This record gives sequence, C-alpha cells and structure tokens, in this order.
Amino acid sequence: MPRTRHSLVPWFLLGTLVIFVLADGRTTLADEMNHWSLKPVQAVVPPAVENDWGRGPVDAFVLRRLDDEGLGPSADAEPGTLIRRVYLDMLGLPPTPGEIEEFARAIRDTDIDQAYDRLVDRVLASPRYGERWAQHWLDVVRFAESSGSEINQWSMTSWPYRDYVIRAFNTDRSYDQFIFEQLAGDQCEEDAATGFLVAGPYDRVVNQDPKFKALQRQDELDEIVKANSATFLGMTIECARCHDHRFDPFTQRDYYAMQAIFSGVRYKERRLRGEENDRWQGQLPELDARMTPLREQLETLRTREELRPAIDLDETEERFEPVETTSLRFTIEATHDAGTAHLDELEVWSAGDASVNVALSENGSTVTSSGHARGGGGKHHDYVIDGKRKWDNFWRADKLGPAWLQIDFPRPMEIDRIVWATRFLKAVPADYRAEVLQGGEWIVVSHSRDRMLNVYDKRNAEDVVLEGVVSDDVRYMTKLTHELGEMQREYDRLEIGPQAFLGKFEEPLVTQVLDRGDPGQPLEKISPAIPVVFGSIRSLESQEKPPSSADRRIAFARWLGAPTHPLTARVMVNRIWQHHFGTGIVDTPSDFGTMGARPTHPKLLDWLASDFVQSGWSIKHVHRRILRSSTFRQASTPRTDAIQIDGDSRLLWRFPPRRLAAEVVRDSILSTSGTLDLRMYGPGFSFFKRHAGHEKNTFADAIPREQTDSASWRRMIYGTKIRQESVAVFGEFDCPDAGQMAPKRSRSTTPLQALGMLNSPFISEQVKHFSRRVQGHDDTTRQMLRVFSIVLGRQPSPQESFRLTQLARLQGVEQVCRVLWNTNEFLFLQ
Amino acid sequence: MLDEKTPFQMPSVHGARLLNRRGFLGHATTGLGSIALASLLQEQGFLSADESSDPDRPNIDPTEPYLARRGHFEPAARNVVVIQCVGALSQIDTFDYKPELYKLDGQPLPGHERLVSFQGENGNVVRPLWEFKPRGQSGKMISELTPHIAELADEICFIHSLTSKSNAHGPGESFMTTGFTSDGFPGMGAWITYALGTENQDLPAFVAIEDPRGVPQTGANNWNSGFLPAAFQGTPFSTTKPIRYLTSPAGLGEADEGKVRDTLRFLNEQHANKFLGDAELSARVASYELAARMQMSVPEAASIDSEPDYLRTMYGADDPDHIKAKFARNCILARRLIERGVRFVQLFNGAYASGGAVNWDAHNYIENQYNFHANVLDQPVAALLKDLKQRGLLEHTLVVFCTEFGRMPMFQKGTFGRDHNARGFTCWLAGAGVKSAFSYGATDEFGFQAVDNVVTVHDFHATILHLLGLDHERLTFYHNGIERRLTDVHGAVIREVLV
Repeated sequence: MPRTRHSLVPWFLLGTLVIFVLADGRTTLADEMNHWSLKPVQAVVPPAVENDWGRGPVDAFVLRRLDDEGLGPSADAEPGTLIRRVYLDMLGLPPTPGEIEEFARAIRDTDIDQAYDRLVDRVLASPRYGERWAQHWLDVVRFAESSGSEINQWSMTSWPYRDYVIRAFNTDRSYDQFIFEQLAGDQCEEDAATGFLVAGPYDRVVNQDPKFKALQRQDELDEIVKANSATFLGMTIECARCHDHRFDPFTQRDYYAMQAIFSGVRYKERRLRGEENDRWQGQLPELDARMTPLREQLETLRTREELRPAIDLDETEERFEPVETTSLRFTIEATHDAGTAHLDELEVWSAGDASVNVALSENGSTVTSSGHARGGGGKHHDYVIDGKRKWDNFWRADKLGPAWLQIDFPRPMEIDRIVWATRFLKAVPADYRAEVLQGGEWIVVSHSRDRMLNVYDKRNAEDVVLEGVVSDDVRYMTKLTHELGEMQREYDRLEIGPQAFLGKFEEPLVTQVLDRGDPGQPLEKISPAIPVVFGSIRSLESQEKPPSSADRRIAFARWLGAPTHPLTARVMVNRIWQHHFGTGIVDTPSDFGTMGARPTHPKLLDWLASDFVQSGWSIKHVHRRILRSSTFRQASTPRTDAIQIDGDSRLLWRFPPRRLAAEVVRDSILSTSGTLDLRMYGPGFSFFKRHAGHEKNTFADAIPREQTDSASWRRMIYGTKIRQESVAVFGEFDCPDAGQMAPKRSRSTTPLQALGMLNSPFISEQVKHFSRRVQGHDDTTRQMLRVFSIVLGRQPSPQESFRLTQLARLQGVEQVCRVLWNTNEFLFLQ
Repeated sequence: MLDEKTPFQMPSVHGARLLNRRGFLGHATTGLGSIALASLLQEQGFLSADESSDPDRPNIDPTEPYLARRGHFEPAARNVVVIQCVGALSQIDTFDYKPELYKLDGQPLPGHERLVSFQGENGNVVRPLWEFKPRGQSGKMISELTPHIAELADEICFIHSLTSKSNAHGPGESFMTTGFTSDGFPGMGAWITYALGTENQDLPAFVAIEDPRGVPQTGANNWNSGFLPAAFQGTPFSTTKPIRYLTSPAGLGEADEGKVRDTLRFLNEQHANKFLGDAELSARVASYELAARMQMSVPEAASIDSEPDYLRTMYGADDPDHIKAKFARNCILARRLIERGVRFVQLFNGAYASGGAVNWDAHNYIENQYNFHANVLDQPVAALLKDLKQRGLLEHTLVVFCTEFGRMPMFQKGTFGRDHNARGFTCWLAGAGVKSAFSYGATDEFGFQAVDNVVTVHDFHATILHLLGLDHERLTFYHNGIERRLTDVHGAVIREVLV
C-alpha cells in the first residue's frame, strides 16, 4: 500500500540531508526500530526562557522553538476574541452576549487571568464540551450508523456508543480506562463502549462463493486491526496484511497475530446491560405468571381433545408405521404466519436399526416441487435433500399458498419417519401432510391436523382444521393461542433484552497467516500477540488452551494503557493539541511511523505525554494546560514578518485561524437563531428520507432532508450518521463519509458551501426564527444591532452599522441574519 | 508544510521559508521535496517525467482551486465521459463473441461443473440470447442487444480481458470507480479534478449524472472525494435532479440579491483587512463569487430544451419510454457539459441493487430485463458518441464505457439469469488518444475468464490517467500514513490501446 521507492535518489539538491533508501524499498530494520516514536517517552524539563510572555511549561517549549527560528510570539488576543475562541473550540457553540458581558464583568472585578481561568473551568464543566469533543473521536474511529458498501443498512442501535463517548469526555474518563472499555467494556459493565470494535464499514451482502466469503470476513477483521492500530498506536499495521510493512517494523506475522486478538469479534448486536435491561428482566416473572393460566388452559384442552403436542418451528419429526414406498410427498397447506412456504431440509429415514436418510441426493434420490422461487440462486428444491442444514441454500416455493415437495427414491425403501427443518423461524409449515405412494395411490402417513397449535401460530380460526375438534372449540383454542402468542413474543423480546450494535463475542477461531492476504492461501497458524517490536504479553503466551476473546482483548487493552507505552499517550496528547491548534505537533495524527511527519516540538510532545500519564490520564488536565497557556491565548492576526517564514503558523507565533467544522457551523446557526434543542443522548434524528420501498433497509436513493422541522434542530452529533451519504448543506463542509478513518479533516472551500449557506430552506427557516427573536425591538437599527451582537459577539463599527441598517431597512432584518451567518468572521475560529 | 512522507523531516528554516502559504488543502499543497523539487529538477533536465516515481502534487491555488493545471506530460485527452453500467453488464450477451457457447448450449461448462459463484450454484451453459453480427468495416461481432452502439464498432476500442477483485456489486463498483473495494476512497473523477482542475470556472469540475431510476449501488461513494479535499468531490446533477440551492430564496429578486452580496463582500473585506495574507479567507470570498456565477451558468448548461429537434430525436429524448427519454436527456447534458469544458462527467446507466429491475443485475430473467435496459441505454449512448464526434469534441474527449464485472456463460441453477463473474469482462474506450476499431485482450473460448493480455482495473485506471497526461504512480495524496494513489500499488498503462 505505501508507495515503493525504486531508485537510489541523492537528495543533495535540498541542501539539508542526505538519505539513501535501499533498492528493495526498505530502510534497514535497525533504522525502523530506532524510530523516534518507538522509543520511550523522555523525561523532559521545560527550557528556561527569559521572557515574561509565557505562563507555563507549554509556552517555554513553544517560545524556545520560535526563538530558534528568529520568530516571536504574538500578544494576547482581545478578551472578546478569546471567549469566542474558547467557546467554539471547547463547546462548538459561540458565547451569548450575556456570557460575554459576564466575562467582561469578571475581568473588571478581578483580573483577566483569574477571570479567564474561571472561564476555562466553566467550559470544562459544561455538558456541551463532551458533545463537541466526542465528534473528534468519532471521526478518528469512523463511527457511523449504517453498514456502508452496497447494502448500507441503517443500524438503528449503534447510537449507544456515541452516547458513551460523549459521557466519557464529559466525565473525564481516564484515557487508559477509556481504551479498556472500548476494547473490553463487556468485562466491566460498559457495554456501549465496545461499539468501537464494530464502528467501521462492512459488507452485508451474502456471498456464496467460498473464496469471496472468506475475503469478506478478512475485510471485517482488517477494519478492526486498522482501527486499533491507527487510533491507539498511530501506526499503519494494516499495511502488513499482504506483505511485511515496507517502512515500519511490522511483519506479516505481526498483522495476523494482532488479527487473532480480535478474531472472536462479530459484527452483530449484543445485549446492552444497564437500567433498561434490568427493567426488562424485572418484568419477566410477572409476565410469566400471567401466561401460566393460559398455558394450563390450553394444555387441558389439548389433553381433552387428544391432540399431539405442537410442532417445533425449527425442526419437527413425524414418526409413522414402517411402510415400503418409492416416493414421499410433503404437502404444505398453510404456514404458521401465512408467509411463502420454505424448507431447509426434508429428511426421510429408513426403518430398522441402521436407519439412514434415504432422501439424500447423494444416495440417488431426486426431488420435485410445486415450484421454486427465482429470487436469485439458492431457492431450488434440490437443496432440501442436499444434507446441508442452516446453509444459505434452501427451498422456497414460487408463490404464496399451498405447495408441495416430492422425493423419489432410486428403489423402494422401507421408511418410518421424516424430519423437516426450516431455515428461518418464519413461514413454518403449520398445516401439512406426508404421503407415500403405494400401488399407484398416495396414502397419508402423517399430518399436522392432530397436533396442538404452536404458540406462535397466527392463522385465523377459520383457517385452522383440527381433527375431531368442533369449530367452536377450534375458535376458542385459536383465540387463547393468539393471546398467549402475543405475550410469548413480548416475553421473548424482554428476555433477549435491549440489543445494540456493539459487536458480539464468539469463541475465537484459529488464525492463520495468509499468503499475500489471500484467504485461499493459508500459511502457518498464529497465536494472538502484539507486534514483536513492542515485546510480548505474557498472559497471552504459554497457555494450555487458547485464550478467550475477552482474555485477548483485556491483555491488549492493558498493554495499551501501560504508563510506559511509547505511543499511547503521545498519540492522544497530539490529537488534543491538533484540535486546539488545527494541526498536531505531529501533523499525521494516526501515523507516527517512519512515513509520518516528525514532531515540530518533540520535547513538548514528550513533556505533554508524561504530564498526561502523571495526571492519571486526564484529558481535561491536558485541555487546562493548553487553554491556560499564552500560546493558546495569543492573537490570531497575521504579522507580515512571521507569515513569510511560517505561513501555516505551525510554530505558533500566533493562534492559527481556521474555518469552523460543519457541526460547529450548524450548531452555531441554531444557537444564534434561538432554536437549538439541547436534549442530550438517545436515538438520533434523521438527515434523510427514503423512497417508497426502501424505508427500512438500504440508503440507496436516500433523499437529504432539508432539516426545516424542529426535530432536527438538536446538535449535529445527534443526527444519525449514514456512511457515504452527504448531509444537506453541511455535508459540503468536509464532513467525513465514515468510509475511511478521518483523524484530520480536510478543510476546503467550495461554491456549493456558499449556495447552501445562502439559499437552502434550512437557512431560510432559521432566518425566520432569528428575526422573530429580535422583533421585540421595533426599531430596525436596534434589531440589527441585536442580531449583530448575537452572531458576532461584538458591536459593529460605524461603517458596518451603516451598511447593515441600510440592508435591514430595505429588505428586512432577515437579510442581516442571512448575511452575518455567511461572513468569514462567523465561520472562522480566530 | 513539512512534506510528511519524505524520509527527511522537519526541514531547516531555510526549507520552511520556501513554503509560506497553505491552509486551504491541509496536506495537498506544495510540500518540500514534492512539486517544488520536482519542477526544479525538471526545468534543469535532471529528471524526466517518465523516470520519476516520486509523488508530484498539483500546485493548487487555494483561492482558485479549480483553475486548469498541467499534468505530468502532454495529454491526449482533456475531458472524460464515463458511462457506467450499474449492476454488471453481461459480456456474453453483448460484445464478447464466443461461437463455442452455441455448441455447449444446455451442457455444463467443461471443468466448472456445479461451480458455486456469488449467488450459489450454476446450471448449464446458455448461449447468448441475442444474435451476433459483424459490424462496420472491421467486422467486429456485436450482438443485437445494442444495435445503435454496434453501428459505431469502428470508433471503439474494446478491452475484453478485464478482471475485478470482487464479485459483489458494492466492492466491485467501488473498485471500478475508486481503485479500492472498500468505502471512502476518492473516485477517478475526484483524482482527475484534483490533478487538473477544470477549464470552465463557472461550472462544477466534476459532474456525476445519476440514472433517472436512482443512485448507483454505492451511491455517493462513486463521486465523494474520500480523503481528498471536498472541493474535488463530484457534484451530483442530472436533468431529473438539479443542483441544490441554485436559486435564491423565494421573494428575492436579482437586485435584492445584489445588495445582499455587496453587503457580505463589504463585511468580509473589512474582516480581511485584519488578516492580510490568509489565503483561506480570500478563498471563501472567491467561492461566493463562483457560486454567483454558477447560479447563472448551470441553468444555461442544463437547458436541454434549447437543443434542436433533430438532435433530440437522435438521442431519443422524446421517446415514449420515459426512462429512456430521461436517460437520453442526461446524455445530452453530458455533451453540453463537455462542450463547456467540464473536466469529468460520470454518467450512470442503472441504479441501486434491485434484483435486476433497475440495473444490469439479471440473475433471474435476463432476457426480459436486458431487452428493457438495453432499450434505455443503446440509442442515447450511441447518439452521444456520434454527437461528440460530429462536433469535434471526441478529438479531446475520452469516452469510457464500463461496468463493475461481467456475468457467467451459464444460467444459475433454477433461474433464467446469469450470476456475477469477476474473472473476465468487457469495457471499452473511445475518442481522444485510443485506437479505434480495435480489440484488446481475450477471455477463454467460453467467455468465462480472461486468459489473453489480462487487464486489471488498476491497469484500466492507469491507462485513463495516462491519456489525461498523468502518471498514475506520481499522482498521489498522503493519507493516514500511506501515499495513496488511484491505482493503489499496482497498475500498468495498456500501451497497446494507445494511438
């Protein structure tokens, strides 16, 4: 995957450094192991600097670096700019005029530093903080609520993971614990956290071709390896899926050893324990008690009417007197839920001791039917005698209503029982008979009309025939069965408990190294382990039996959370830094490998990492360090001297201004117009509607909703995230499509952004609400002033005031709202 | 600024001074050791384009990201129309003539009896359901399924030996458009506009024209920009689905809008005075100007009704079959966009997964389904090709006709249709830079798998990029630790199809 280098290229032309790359494309392993990020975090003392600009260790490092380049820092930003910056950065919402006023008052009452520190404490305690910073994490792990690929099915129970992340940030969950929970939350009552493991895209299409089916599973596991590697280690171990990593010290064996850690993880729903689950379980005894009299009553009736017990939806055996025949016919008059008849397998067993299934096609039998569905392969009647159970191939009738199957044996057989099995618990034969051919006539050997109704049977009383039971009794029994069935279904639902898409943990299968990543070419078996370059985990080794899925994940999580881990803390503090300043100290936040960027401030990175670990892995502690620094508090306006040397402000001679992210733009519009709904948590609102026939499943042809209804005016993080699909208006602002991990968003400027921000129904609707909000003032100028201070948090200059009053008078204050939301000042963090 | 992936990192101040403006594109703009170095070397004759395998990032002006840019070398084609048949078009019944299938009709495929493919077991070989006839001067055998396209055999360069990495629609379609089977990678159109910009600054650089029946199987993944900046994503836009938000809110006249824009510009200028030299801010101001121009130029480009009657008839734009008429109008739109300098047009024929009802995925009743779909496809596509040629546009336009994979020579067990087949299928090219009346590569005697000059989708992509003057190994973008390419780490230009 990484590009290969072929030639020896002397880089002397750069005049800086000379590096030779080996002809085979790899630098030597020794070089790779020597890579800075794999070495232990250094204990660093902040440099002594002679300057009263700085407020702490962070500033000392930054200042030293600026000094090295002949640059100086900028003065503090104005208080108005600062409070806006802190709010947008930390909460993703602008401060209200009242909050700005309060800050100004606090400055007057105490001093700027005290007032500012209190402001920092206040934003860190705000629940809005978790809603903003969770988004950064969700970007990294490419969380979405649909499967992606062709089917792109909506996963309606993925949101608990999103809520978990918001809560974790708000409660300042220690980062080592945060990691542990996401990998092994099932082991510590944080079920929702393991949504991380299955946050990526996967292909739901059933592929019968064994080669491609195996590849599908490999792709699923690859997503998990990739996510763990990139998110926590900042490494690209997935590059070693097909061959040893070209640039970093990971072998193909390392890749598959890491894959083995996750080999028990399935992309499925799991019980979400917690209050709701407890409540559901608590209801079971009472419901069961209500069902008991019904059950007893039905059992009494069954005995009285001398009916056999009901069929089993999954598999039913019918025994009869031994009979010799060449053919057996199985006729289905009705299914239990009126669905189209189907069967997975129909077995016919020979009488006597050495009983065998004589229906099998491999024994020479053949099968015909009243018809089979043509909805793709795998519905043919041949599959009921192929000896394969619970396989994707089964028989389904070509239409609703009665259907039959006939099995012809190669020679007369003496038989005494049949077993039929269904593939799904739907459309199960409820009214059927088995007949054998004798002397040219079909003789019934067994049927269902002397059996009790199955509790799930949904047939109407008039469709039910029970041998020897009068119709009034049939009606009564059906009524009772329906009542019991309804309760039974509710019981089943409660018993399974609330399910959420958090991954299901099964026994790990054997993992093998695959030659060139091809599941058709397995090589040696491999045990779960961390990449060799990092050493080994003892608990995963030398065990008699292979460790369980939980053991593997726990061991891996503990290793990641070790205070001495060279990468975990560095990678995370760098992510935090990146979101405060726009760019990380390492500009490639999920690649700390040799192909990644070098840190601009390596010592600062190590100091922050140690400080982070020492604080008990407190993310809020790191925020406080950064927010309180003079580096963060600098003005963002450019200085001619500095912009020519360091145009990207990587060295932080100013606070780097940048465009707000999509979520911040949208939330800020709602907040300023006064319509923002601050309800937290729970199922999201939808950004899409779907065409008829596609409501339930795929997002094929999803139509973006214009978000003009108040249900969608919650914060954007509560909008259901659909892979591939771009949200109306705000999708254009570089929202990741959640296909690949997005540790760093691109930031582009397009005319479609402008069109959406000016002309969309969303904006028009919000403009209406906003203008209504300021209508208390009858004077147009005062209305305009109010709008201005709500949107931009300051008073307009005389010229601005003049132009906007003019606009408001001619076209109404609505146009002032519309214009101000489109200004760079509103759309930029500065 | 620091070019993240070159082995020498964190350059000196001297290096940093070279790079004084970025912001707009994150990683994308010039980086140390990339374009600055490459162009320096090229100017001095140290390095010829063909020998270099180093990344060569386009030099993008953040205030004008769509400005036309030069590629790595002189291109044969300036514009591209991709006609994408969604759902996997059968090579057996269209362009890949195999007499052997008539003999084998009703018998198992030798060596592959009871083969299990995507949907399960296969039945017996079924000969092509439409008659093959020799066409044009070249005598190329093409079936009666697409008689209009068949007439143009002498214009076309067939590639009969394509293979795919996946036999499932989602991954297969993504592979054909993005070079990767998983979601989230930029499509061909995004890569090409990222590299080359576009010639018309008043229209989107990359337009994705959806089929009137709906979006393709992997939806916007076909035209998303993936990790490339959003500026290079395709704009979905068809005659049935106009660009959103192109018109001002109700009740606002052009004069009113003028005042709104003037006020906005005034406020932004006031603000910019404090931020002199910040390119991202000026880029935003410029984007509003471009948006205003698009409000004028897009409706003009989309006004199909201004086309003369004979031309509408040639395309079938007024056909009683509404789907065909709408698809024909999309084909006219494609030509109008190319004519106006739009760099990349991706025209879809067929929509999402449907069991073959609205696309080429005929598992169950291929005969009925293909007769219907071919009627929609054939005349409009042939007319587009003819129209481009008549106007001289084909001289600088590359037409790519593709599908995600092919189909089996057998019918599936228990159905009247063919299952997926990634082992061999046909796509074709026409127009600028490619041979006409030419066929390249071949499947075996059954049309089952590619055996002669086997072509991967990566090769196909490398060839398309080459025709546009781009070296597929040098068109790269750094993402999450990997120097990404459209062609992953594979691909070779198919030299034999080039003029």
